[in-house]
Amino acid sequence: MESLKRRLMLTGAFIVFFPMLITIGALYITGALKTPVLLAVAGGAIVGLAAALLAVEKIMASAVKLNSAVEKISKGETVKIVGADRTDYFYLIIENLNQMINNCDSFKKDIGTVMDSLINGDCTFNVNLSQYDGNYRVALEKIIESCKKVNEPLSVMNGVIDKVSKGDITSERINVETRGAMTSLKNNTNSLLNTIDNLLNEVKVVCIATIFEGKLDKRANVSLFSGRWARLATGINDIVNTFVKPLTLSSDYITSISCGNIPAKITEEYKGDFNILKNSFNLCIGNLQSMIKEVNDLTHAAADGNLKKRGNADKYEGAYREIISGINQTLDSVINPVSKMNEYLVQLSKGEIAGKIEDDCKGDFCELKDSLNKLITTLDNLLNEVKVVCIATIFEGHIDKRANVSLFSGRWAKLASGINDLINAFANPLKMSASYITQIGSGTIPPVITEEYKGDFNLIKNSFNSCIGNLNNLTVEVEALTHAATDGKLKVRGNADKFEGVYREIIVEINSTLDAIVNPLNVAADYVAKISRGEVSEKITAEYKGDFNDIKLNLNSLINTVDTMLGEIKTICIAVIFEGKLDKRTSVSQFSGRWAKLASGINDIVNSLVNPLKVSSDYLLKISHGEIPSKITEEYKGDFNEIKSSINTCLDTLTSLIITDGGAALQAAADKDLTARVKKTYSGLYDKMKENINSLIENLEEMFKNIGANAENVSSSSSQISKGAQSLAQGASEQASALEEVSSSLHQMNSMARQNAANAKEGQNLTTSARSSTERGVDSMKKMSVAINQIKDSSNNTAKILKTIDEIAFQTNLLALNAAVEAARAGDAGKGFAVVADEVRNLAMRSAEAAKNTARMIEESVKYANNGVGINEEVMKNLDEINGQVKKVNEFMSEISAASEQQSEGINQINTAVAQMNQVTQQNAAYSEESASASQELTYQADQMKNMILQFKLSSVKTRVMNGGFDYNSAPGYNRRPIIQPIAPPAAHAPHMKKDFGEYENYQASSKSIEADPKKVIPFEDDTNVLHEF
Amino acid sequence: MEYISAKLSDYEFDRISGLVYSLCGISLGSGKKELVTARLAKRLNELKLQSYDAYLKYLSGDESGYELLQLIDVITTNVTSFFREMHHFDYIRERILPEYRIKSEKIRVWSAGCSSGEEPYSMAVLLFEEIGNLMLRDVKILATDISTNILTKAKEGVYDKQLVNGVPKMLLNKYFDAFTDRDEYGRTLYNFKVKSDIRSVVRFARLNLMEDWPMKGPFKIIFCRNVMIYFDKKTQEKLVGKYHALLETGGHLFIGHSENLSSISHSFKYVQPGVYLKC
Ligand SMILES: C[S@@+](CC[C@H](N)C(=O)[O-])C[C@H]1O[C@@H](n2cnc3c(N)ncnc32)[C@H](O)[C@@H]1O
Repeated sequence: MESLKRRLMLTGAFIVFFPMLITIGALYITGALKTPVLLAVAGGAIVGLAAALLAVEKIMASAVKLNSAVEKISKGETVKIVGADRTDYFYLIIENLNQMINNCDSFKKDIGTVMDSLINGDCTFNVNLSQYDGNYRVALEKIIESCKKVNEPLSVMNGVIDKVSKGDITSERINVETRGAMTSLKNNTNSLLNTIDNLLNEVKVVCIATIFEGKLDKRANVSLFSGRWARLATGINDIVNTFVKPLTLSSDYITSISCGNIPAKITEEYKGDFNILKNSFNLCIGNLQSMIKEVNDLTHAAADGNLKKRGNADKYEGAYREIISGINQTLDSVINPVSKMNEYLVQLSKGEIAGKIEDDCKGDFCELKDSLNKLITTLDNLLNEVKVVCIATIFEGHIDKRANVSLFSGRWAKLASGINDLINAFANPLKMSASYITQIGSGTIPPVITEEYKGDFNLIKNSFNSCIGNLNNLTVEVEALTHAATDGKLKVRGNADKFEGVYREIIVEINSTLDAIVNPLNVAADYVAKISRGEVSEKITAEYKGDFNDIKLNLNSLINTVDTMLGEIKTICIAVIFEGKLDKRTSVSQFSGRWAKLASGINDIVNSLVNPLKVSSDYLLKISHGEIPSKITEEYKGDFNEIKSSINTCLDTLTSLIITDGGAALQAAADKDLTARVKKTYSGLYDKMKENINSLIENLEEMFKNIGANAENVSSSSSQISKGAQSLAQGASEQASALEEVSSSLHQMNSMARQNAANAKEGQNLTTSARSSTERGVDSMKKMSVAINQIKDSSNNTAKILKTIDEIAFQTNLLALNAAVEAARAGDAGKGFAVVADEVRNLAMRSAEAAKNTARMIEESVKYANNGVGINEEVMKNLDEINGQVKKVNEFMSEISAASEQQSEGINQINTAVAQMNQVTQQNAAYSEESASASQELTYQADQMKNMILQFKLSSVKTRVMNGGFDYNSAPGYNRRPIIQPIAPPAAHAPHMKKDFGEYENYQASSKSIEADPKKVIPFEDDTNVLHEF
Repeated sequence: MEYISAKLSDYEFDRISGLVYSLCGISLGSGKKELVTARLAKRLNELKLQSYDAYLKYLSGDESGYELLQLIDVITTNVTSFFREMHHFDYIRERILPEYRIKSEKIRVWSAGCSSGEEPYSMAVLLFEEIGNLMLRDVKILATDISTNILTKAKEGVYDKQLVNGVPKMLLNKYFDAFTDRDEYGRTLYNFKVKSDIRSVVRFARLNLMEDWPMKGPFKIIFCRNVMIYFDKKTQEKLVGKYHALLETGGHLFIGHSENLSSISHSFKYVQPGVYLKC
């Protein structure tokens, strides 16, 4: 921005300044401008330029502000451009921008409001559209419109789903017009509703089938559903299955047990409480089976007349045992009174009800007697009731009289109510028949009665018979008709042809009457049959009259009642079976009469089933939770009592096995007393368990004894090993130290050998050079000898020359003598000559003399030379000898050098070996250290184990041995020292060090400063970097 | 040259063992006196000192700390070998690595007290064998030791013929380069150098276990084998606690065959001898 500004200003300056300058220049040159004017113009131009620059500056400032604002706006930030006044170059732009920002802001807020209300499901959309113009308004309108479009079907759907969630599944489906995704949402919701509908139907079908029709095989049709609904349907089926299977099985089992059929044990797999139930069943079945066999055997024996045979009560426990011994006692006490009883039983089986048994009897027989008496009483009562009802109904005409069902229980009650039902079913037709007969009997057309009647009826019959004896045939006919009617053969009609006149008319009349009765009766029968089949049909709408109308009305109200009853039962079933609300019962008060009884009967059934079930399940649950509850004391009857006593027996066994006997033994073992055992006798699996517990404890005890003994062995041998390893470690250390010494001295030896080799080599070199010097000496000697001989030769030659000179001197002397002689002869003339001759003679004499001297000297030097040759030869001989010896020395020297080198090589090899030995020794030291550490660990652990075992009470003598066996503290001190116990700094654990404590402290201090140093001194950045990588 | 047969007095021994203990946790019992004498003799020889007393003086006067490192170097026992305690490597191969053949999770291993490098290199070889080319994976092995001399050797990764005895022939051919060299006497040495791929996954650094550890972890595997036997129980307990903190959950600590955590308190789950699991 800054650079742009600068560029702009420069460009502006040039644009303004240059043309002006040029123009002014041109004007000036052409003389159009005078100098003062030129100066004024130039000054003006400069002022103008300055003003222009200032303006540009200001524009740029505004532009920068504007730019940053626009940049923010483009980033979506809300800004307000401030500080713009009318003098600003961009005033209008800024104003418009601010306006735009404002609009954007409120537009944003309003869209927020619309979205919020859409999210909240509120479709009022509180937006003031009028504040917008143009595109803002159009956009906002569009948004609100589409929000509404979205929301409308949603709220409709919401209403429907709300209803569904409240359980109100109507056939209503969502029917709003939708588009796109909304449509598929709508469709999905509708199909969800359909599915729920279907599911409910299926459940209904299953419920009805299972509960009301007793069709336990009926299941929901899973294939109607998909996905999770299919799983839900399957789930419902599964629930039904889990209930139905054990229910039917339990019911079958209970039924067959109560019928005296002991079924095979339940092998199917069940879970949870059902499994516990199953197990109790199986236990019960097992005991029953074996008992039945026992009883069977007894029965066979009795049948064979072997009345001495008794059951083996010892095989059983608890109630079963009591039963067997009871049977035995019964057998004992039965033998005598048995025939008496038999008589009664025979009588009873023939339907003859004798008086009560008055005979004395004992024990169980007494109970049997009581039962028999009770039976007799019941039969008596029943008979009486029937009698009373019969008398009332038939003879006294009290058709409303019924047997008092409450006097009876069980099947007897059913019998009584059956009789009542029969009476009820036939009450009206009987009433009608009665009235018909009464009509005839009252004088118009008296019928004939052949049947036996008693009491009042008999009187009536008798009077009839005596009054209208000749109406016998008619009577017979009517009787036949009556019989047929009582037999339910409602199609039978009187044979009018057999009669004539008024009788014929009577018969015809009777026949037509019968028709009138039978038709509505058939209808009624049909309905009742339907109802009894569980088909609750629609109400009867046909028109009947009089009593038939009553029948119709009653039937209709029966249908009503049955309907209500069904509803009640349904409610109970759903509550009990599906919702698990076992307390749900029918409200009896809404029914009357038998229906009320039926309702309360249903309640009773549910009660009698639910209560023991609850108790059993409660107990089984508690047992399965490890609780042993107190025995069941409530009274139950029949099979429920069996269950109760089974549970009680089971509780006894469990109490003993888990708490008092077995539990105590285990507790003792847990408290480290392994001498306790399970003592009581148990049967079956319990006995197996007892054996297992005992053998577990025995094994533990045995094992602990062994472990104790082994631990002791381990402890002592490992401390042995530890000691061994320690001394091994020490040995290795000493070895290492010795090796260090050896290695060091070897090093020295090696260097000495090398030195020797070097010296020998030096010596060799020296002798070599000595040899060459002597050889050179010999050589010079030889040369000298030659030179001397040459001197000798030349001396000889010189001697020869000297001899010649001597001969010449002699001759010259002779000649000089001769000349002197001659000169003397010649006198004076010869006088000069005589002097010369004399001189010559002198010279000759001196020459001879000199030659003689020279010869003598040469002779002498030859003699010397000869002498020199001799010496020379001697020197040469000596030199030769020296040469030979130097050669020998040289050989020795090279031998020494080679030997030293070999020696050095050998020492090197020894060194390598020692280095290897050192490595092995280091290894040994490390390994023995490691094994010392391991064996110390071992000792520690063995001791630990021994201490642990010592906490157990064991029954054998070994414990004593162990107690006195190994004393940890008697182990050598070293054993406990280096690794298990930390080594304190020397000053602390060595008392003799105390006087040096200060020094040690100093030392520590310095070592501490050193300790911190390594990092500083040795470049460890690399290390630190590496460590920081991890 | 003269061999120094100086005697190490009890007093000097105690001073040295105290120093070593405070410096690197190694506890030298009185049974170690000979060992200390022998090992320190090397230093005395090198420094041409006549007595241990002189050595102690020299040591405390050495401001550079160099001698302290040398002391540690000679005192530490560096015995190790390739694939030492093979059953540990078997365990890693069979029980730890299989899932990482496919999973490309990062793997961090620490060999604490790696000595001359045989242990971390063995681990690297195992990882190459089991996981394949580690160059494509985030796999690193940290190898630390207190001794600088032994670390120099370890970084070089050169081992004598005898030292690679424990490496199976196939792996030796695959992960080592054989070469010959001459010793100072000119004899031929048959050497093996660990290949650069293997060396590149192992990162060596000096670390005194007694000092602060700069690593953040977590590691999948920590080896600290035959190191803590030289320490006392208190130190062992402290170190084991720190190893536990640095391991990832499900990570393993391997200790030496002669070691056992039963007499110290720790949070590891025992798996089998020498193998402990962080749960
Ligand atoms: C016997 S080696 C074990 C080598 C390898 N872990 C094995 O089991 O084969 C022990 C190593 O622990 C190292 N060490 C001893 N104390 C140490 C410390 N305080 N910090 C780090 N390393 C230490 C030694 O330097 C030596 O290399």
